[in-house]
Parts: sequence; structure tokens; C-alpha cells
Amino acid sequence: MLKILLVEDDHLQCAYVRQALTSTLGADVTTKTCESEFRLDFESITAAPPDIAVLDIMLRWASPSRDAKPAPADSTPYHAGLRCAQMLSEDPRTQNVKIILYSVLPKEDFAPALLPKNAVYVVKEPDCQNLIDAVNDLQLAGAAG
Amino acid sequence: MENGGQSIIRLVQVAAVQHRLEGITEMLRVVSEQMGSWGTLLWLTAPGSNIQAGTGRLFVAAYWLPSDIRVWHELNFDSMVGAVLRSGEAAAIGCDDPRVAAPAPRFMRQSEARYICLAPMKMPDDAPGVLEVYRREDRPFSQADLDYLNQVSAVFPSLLGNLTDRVGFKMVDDVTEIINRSDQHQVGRLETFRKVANRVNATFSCLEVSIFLENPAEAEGVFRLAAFQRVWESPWTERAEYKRGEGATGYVCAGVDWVRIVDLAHYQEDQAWIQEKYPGLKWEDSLHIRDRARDYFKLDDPEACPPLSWMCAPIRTNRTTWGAIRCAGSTRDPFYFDVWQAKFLDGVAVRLGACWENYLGNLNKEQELHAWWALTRGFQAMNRSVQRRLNNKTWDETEFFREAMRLAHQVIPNTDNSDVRLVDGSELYTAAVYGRDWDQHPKSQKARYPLKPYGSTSSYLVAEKKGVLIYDDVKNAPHYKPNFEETRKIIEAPIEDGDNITGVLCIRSNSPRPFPENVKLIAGLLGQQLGLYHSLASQIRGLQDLERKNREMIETQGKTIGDVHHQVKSPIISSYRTAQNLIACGSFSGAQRQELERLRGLCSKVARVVRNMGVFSDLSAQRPIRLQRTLLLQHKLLQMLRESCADHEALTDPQRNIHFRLDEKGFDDVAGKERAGKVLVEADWALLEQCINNIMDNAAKYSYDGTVVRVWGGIQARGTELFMAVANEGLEVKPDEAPLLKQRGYRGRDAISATGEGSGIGLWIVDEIMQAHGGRLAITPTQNGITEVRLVFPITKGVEKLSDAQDLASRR
Repeated sequence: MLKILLVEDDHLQCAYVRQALTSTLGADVTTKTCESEFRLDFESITAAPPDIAVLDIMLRWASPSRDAKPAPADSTPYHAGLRCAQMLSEDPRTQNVKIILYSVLPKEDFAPALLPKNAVYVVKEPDCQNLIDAVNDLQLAGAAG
Repeated sequence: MENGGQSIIRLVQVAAVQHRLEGITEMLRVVSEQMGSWGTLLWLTAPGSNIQAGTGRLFVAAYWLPSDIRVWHELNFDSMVGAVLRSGEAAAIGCDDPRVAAPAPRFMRQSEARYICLAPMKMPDDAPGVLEVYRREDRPFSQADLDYLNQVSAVFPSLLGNLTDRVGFKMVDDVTEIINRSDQHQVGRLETFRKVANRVNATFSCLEVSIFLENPAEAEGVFRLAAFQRVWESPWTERAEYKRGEGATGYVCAGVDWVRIVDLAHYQEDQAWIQEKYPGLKWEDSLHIRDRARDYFKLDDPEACPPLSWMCAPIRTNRTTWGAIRCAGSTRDPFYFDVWQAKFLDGVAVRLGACWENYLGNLNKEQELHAWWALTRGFQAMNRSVQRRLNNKTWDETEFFREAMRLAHQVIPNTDNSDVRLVDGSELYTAAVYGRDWDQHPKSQKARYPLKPYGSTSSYLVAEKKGVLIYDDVKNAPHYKPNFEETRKIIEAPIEDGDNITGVLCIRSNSPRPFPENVKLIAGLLGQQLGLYHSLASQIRGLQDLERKNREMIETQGKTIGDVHHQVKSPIISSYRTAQNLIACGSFSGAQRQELERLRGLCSKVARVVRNMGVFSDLSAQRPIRLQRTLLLQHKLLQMLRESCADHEALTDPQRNIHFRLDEKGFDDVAGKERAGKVLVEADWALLEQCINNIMDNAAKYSYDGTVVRVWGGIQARGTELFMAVANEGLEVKPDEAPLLKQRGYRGRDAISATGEGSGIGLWIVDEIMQAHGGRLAITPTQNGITEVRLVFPITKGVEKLSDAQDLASRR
């Protein structure tokens, strides 16, 4: 079964995308709702790496919480998804995970140097069809490789 | 008479104690007394005389008489004096001797002398002379008298030379002392020259002593009166300056040798020897010295003329003649200046020359210091000017260039005109000019010069990246293109912007005098300063252009945002109402109803964001918030609050378990259908909804999981205010942070971490809206974990204060 990690901080969007990927592709979708959760659960992610990670680029660090860890000093929400992608790429256990960057912003809004070279960029659309196509393309490419 | 040896000794003794030139008369008195005579005259031949040919004249250089008779008469060589000179032998004769001119000269008659004794001699300068002794008593001069006079004539010139040296050296020493004190700044410069003139006059007893000096920095080739001493008392109305070569004084200023004219009374007849010795000299009597002398000696005879001896020495150093010191006429016996006096005057002049050159050197240093000071002050003034222009947002670069050139002319002496040329592609163009010369050359004010092939020296400088170029002769300037025929010297300073040369500052001079040594540094600094300002001006123009474009873009953005607001507002409100209607019809299952509520919440969120955009657009364009005031009615207000609570709860992640609770009790006193005794509040309904949604949105985003957001309201401030409050338990708002939250664009670090969205304008907009209502946004910093935000509206006192139209509208 196709395993997808979805990192998305908008719960409505998250539920919608998850539902779309599950119903259309029959994928097993795991979700993370903020950067700190992704980092906190990173070891468990590496233990059972997904096939594909769909990462929203702009992510909050954490929901307000009395015991939340403060965000790293030099981090902002604007590139949180890119940091998550970097962690996946740099860890040998997850370096084969295919990455889809999923954002409402067009790709041109980001400096090329910021975007990981092996990632696929998909702009959020109302019906998720372009995301589904991108997942299928990656699967086909993986099968061919 | 005494024996010759004793007589000579007495003469020597008397001569040795003399300390003034007048001492010569004492020496002649001794001779007269030693020879038992009435008086003694010292005759000299005038320059240019020829004894053998019998041309020229003899004059009385000095005399001693026991009366106040002035012995100013002269003789020709047919006289007995002339005969003695020709023969070289002493003679003693009676006054009735046929060799004495007949009729006898006036002086001889006045003297009532019966015998004369004469002896020739040679003066220290080899001038032939004769000592003539007069005796009144009827006792002819003896051979012993003749022998004595011969002995006297042999030693007299030496004694006289010794006296002159003593007096002369003393004078020079005293002048040196005066100048030394001046050099030590103990005496002012003009005072120094006055003292020197006095000291010279004390020695030579002149009708006039004057000193003329040139200051090239003030007027080159012009020698101006610096000090004088004279016997007549009146303001100086005579010629006060000479150009080089003008008159006898100017003649001396042009050369390096002193001039002595034995007697100006014979100036015309002495022209032959004067021109032979001093070619080109032309005395003009600018002092009217003849009249002055007659006045001084109280001579009534307009034809009479006392002896007018004149000498003048150049004030000079090895390199330069700086002026002259002159002496005109003597007021006492001896009445004629001799060669030795002229030489000592020359000694004084040499010391004056060193003094003046030293003074000018110091003056140059002072001027150089002044130039640096002026340059510094000028830069400060220019900087202030630039600052003012920056503040006023006006920038006239041409005016600034002219100011810089004005400064250049102020600090660099003898400059006449200048211009600034700036690089424009492959050319230099004239950006600004300074100096009156340009008025006559309007076309040159717009001149352009190709950089290559070099169209001017400036082009050469730019193309070859040269530093400051200075040419004391424009003929040596490469590729020089004259703007003015009179230009003799030129300075070209690069105007630099970093490593690039962006222009050239050209400064011209019509003066032959070389530029001062510091000119290269000054011109370089001016060029650099101009470069800085030119660069600054370019950048400012660029920034102004950017600012203009940015302003246009902001205006466009504002219009676009406003346009989006208008276009989206209606459909999103329609969507909201549709969702609301569907929920209200109650025919959907629980899950469907939840979806509908989320849809309504999303519509509400979009409506809120879109409305925020509209308000932001207005505020950014500095348009005031336009209120559509209506009376707040209790049931409508509560309905709005209920829906807002529901919408925000619906949009919050259910897993966070955050709930909104509205406490409606506090609104009981708000006017509804029944207004009597109720609270009346006017507000813009849409903007109130916007405020409520903004603060509820914050509460939803920043509350901890599993908490309740409380919403309530009521009357406060003794019934003068209506408030609506939202309190949540979540991220802490510290006391010093509360006012910051109202600032546009401010977001706390924790807030940024907690939500990826938002731009920090929500509370700023709420604050602006509340102020437009005459109310306020009150943020209470977190206490006991609870943060409270209130919207406070003023309560309208009495129904009659309500706007009729609005009141009617609210009734409907």
C-alpha cells in the first residue's frame, strides 16, 4: 500500500487532502499538523518511512500550548516545510522518500536555491487533482527506476 | 697758528668723537680755527664734470662759517677752485687777485674775506674736491698755512670716510635691531617700516624718506607706500604707488642697484651723465620736492632752489626686488648725499628686503591656513546646504556646483572663471559655470567635448583617468581648447565616484602668477567633494524615481485591493447567507449540518479577510474610515455574536477542543424594540462585525487546547460606555506588548510560531475602526492566564441625540 506522509497545518485542508488521497489512491496517509510535531515524530517517521511526503511549505511551529517548546531562533513559518524536506533528504533512512512540496504560492515565489532539487512542486488547487497526478507520476517514476 | 702736527691731531681728535654726519662741519671748524680763519668750504665736482675740459660745475658739499649764511652757490671751472683742481697744487691768494672771478661772487662779498687758501684733495670715492679757507683779517696765508692745509686735505677724506662709516654702520645696525624685533613679533610690520624710515631720517636728515613695497598677492608689479617720514605736515596726497619702471622710484624698483642724483635742481642739465649711469631713468618730481624745499628753507625767490640731493635703494633679496627706500633732500649741512651714504642706504634696503620676504612667506603660510580654514567652512556650508535640500526634497545640482566653484575661487587666489563638466556617454557636457567671463561667451556655457579623440584637456583627464592636472601655462596643457583668450593658467580636477571619473572641475586664471603650492590638494578635495555630491544626487534621483514608482504601485495595489474587496464582498456575503439559510431550514443531518456550519464559517472568514483588505486599502491611502452608523439593537447584536462564536468554533480544529461561550446577560440593557431606559449605541454594523470577528479569530488562534473563549458584554464607566469582551486562555500578552499589538504589522514571536498565517494588521484595523467610532480597543495584558480584549463604544445620551435618518432606519 502506498504510504504518504501529509504535513499540513490547516485542519480543514488536511482532512480534505487526506480524504482525497485515501479515496482516490487507496493510500495510507499519516498526518502531522505543525513543524514541531514533525520534528518530534521524526524518529518514528524514519522507522517506517513513507513512500511520498506531501509537505505544505508554510507551517506553524506549534499550536499554542503551555508546554510547547519554543521555535528555533532563526526559523520562521514561511519555510518550515522546506526544513522538513531537508531533514528527510539528509537522513539516510529517509533520503529515498519522494517529496512533494504543496503550497498555495506559485513556485516562482521561492528562490530556486531554497527548493530541494529532488522535490516536486504542486500548487494547491480546489480539487486536489494535480496533487493526485503528481503522486501517480512519482509512483510511475519509482517503478520505472 | 699751531704747528702742523698738533693741528692735525686736534682735527683727528675732533673727527673721532663725531657721531653724526653733521660732524663734518665740526671738522671744518677745526680747520678754520687752526688756520686763524673766518670759515672753510669743502668743494666737490659734480658728477659728469670734466676738469680739464672745464665743463661741469663745483658745489659746496659742506662748510663751516661763524654765521647763518647758507653756502649753496656753485662755481664753474674758470674759478680759482677750478684752477687749483686743474693744477693739483695748493694756493693762497688775496681776494683782489685777478684769478678771482670779477665781480667777486656774492658769498665772497658777504664773507668780507681778504684772503683765501685752497688745497686740492681726493674724496673716498675718488671724486676731486678742494678745501677753501677764508680769512678776513689783513694777514695773508703763509707757506706754513699752505703746508697745513695740504696736510689737512690729505687726511680729511679719510677722516670723513671714517665718520661716514661709523654713522652708516650704526644706522644699519639699528635697522637690523628694529627688524629683528619685528621678526620676533615684538613690533608690527607697518610700525617696523615706520621706525626704519625714522631711523634713516635721523641719520640723513632728509626732507622726505619713504619706503615702497610690493605685495604680489595684492597687486603684482605695484609698489605701494609702506612708510614715510618727511618735514612737511599734511596727509599724503602725493603719488602713493609706482609700477615697475615708473618715475625714478619705479626705476629703482625695477632694478637691483641704488641710484644717487647729486642735485635734482640740475636734473635737466645733468641728463647726459644721468642717462649714461642710469639709462631710462625719468624723474617726475611727483613729490613737488622743489616747492617743498623752498617752503622748508623759507625761500621767497621762486627761482631759487636749495640743493636737492636724491638717493634711492632697491629693497631686494637675492631673487627679487620687492620695493625701494628713497631719501630726498637734506635739511642741513651737508646738503648733498654722497656715495657712501647711498651705499649705507643700500645696506638698509637689503635688510628690509629680507624682512619683507620673510613677512610675505609668513603671510603665504597664513593665507594657506586661511585657505584650508575657508575650505573646511565651505565644505560645512555645502553639507548643510545639501542637508537642507534633502530635508526639503529639492535638489538643484547646478546650484550646488556653482556653490562649489564659488568656494574654489575663494580659496585659490587669482582665479577668474571655472566650470563643471560631467560625463554623458562618450562626451563631456558643461553642467555649470562660474565667473563673469562666461557672460560674454553664452555658447561656451553649453559646450560639449568628445572624450575620444580628446576634445579638451578635460577629455584627456577623464579618458586617461588622470589625477589633478595643473598648468601654469595653458600652452603646456594637452589638447587644450581655450574658452577665453585671457586664460593663462588652468587647473583640472577629476570629479570622482569611487574608481570612476564622472566629471571634471576646471578652474582658470588670467594671472601670470603661479598657483600656490597647496592648490593641487585643494582642487583634488573639491573634485572629490563634488563627486560625492554628484553621486548622492544620482542616487537620490534614483530613489525619488523608485519612490514615485513605488507610490504609484501602492496606489495601484490599493485600488486593486479595494476592487477585490468590492468584487468579492457581495458573492461571499451571498454565500454566507445561503449557508445560513440552509442551516436554518434544519433539514440536514448532523454531519451535513457541521459541514454547512464550516462552510458558513469559511465564508465568514473570507468575508472578514476581504473586509480587512478594504479597510487596509482605505487606511493605506490615508482615506478616513467612512461609518454608516446605525443604532445597535440588542437582538441583532446577540445574533451576530452567536453566529460569530459558532463560526469560529466551527473553523477551529476539533482536536484542539476549543469552545466559544457567549454570555448574553450583559446585553440586557442594550436597546431593542423597547428603548425607554435602554442603552443607545450607534455603530457601523459591518465594521462592528469586522472587529468582533478579528478579535475572536485571534482568540481562536492563540488559545490553548481544551480551553473556552468567553464572549460577553455590558455597560461600564458609570453607564457611559458599552463594551464587548473576548477573553481567552492562551499565549501570554505581556504588559509592554499590549500597546504594540495595535501597531500595524506587529506580531509577537510566539504568535508567529503558533500560526503561519496573518500579517499583523487585524488589531491595527480594529483600533482604527474603534477610534473612528469615538471608542477604543482595550487590551488587558494576561492576568492569571487570561487575556481580555474589549471593544468599547460610547453610549449616546438620549434618543434625541440619534440621527433621525439612522433612527428611522433602525426602526425599520
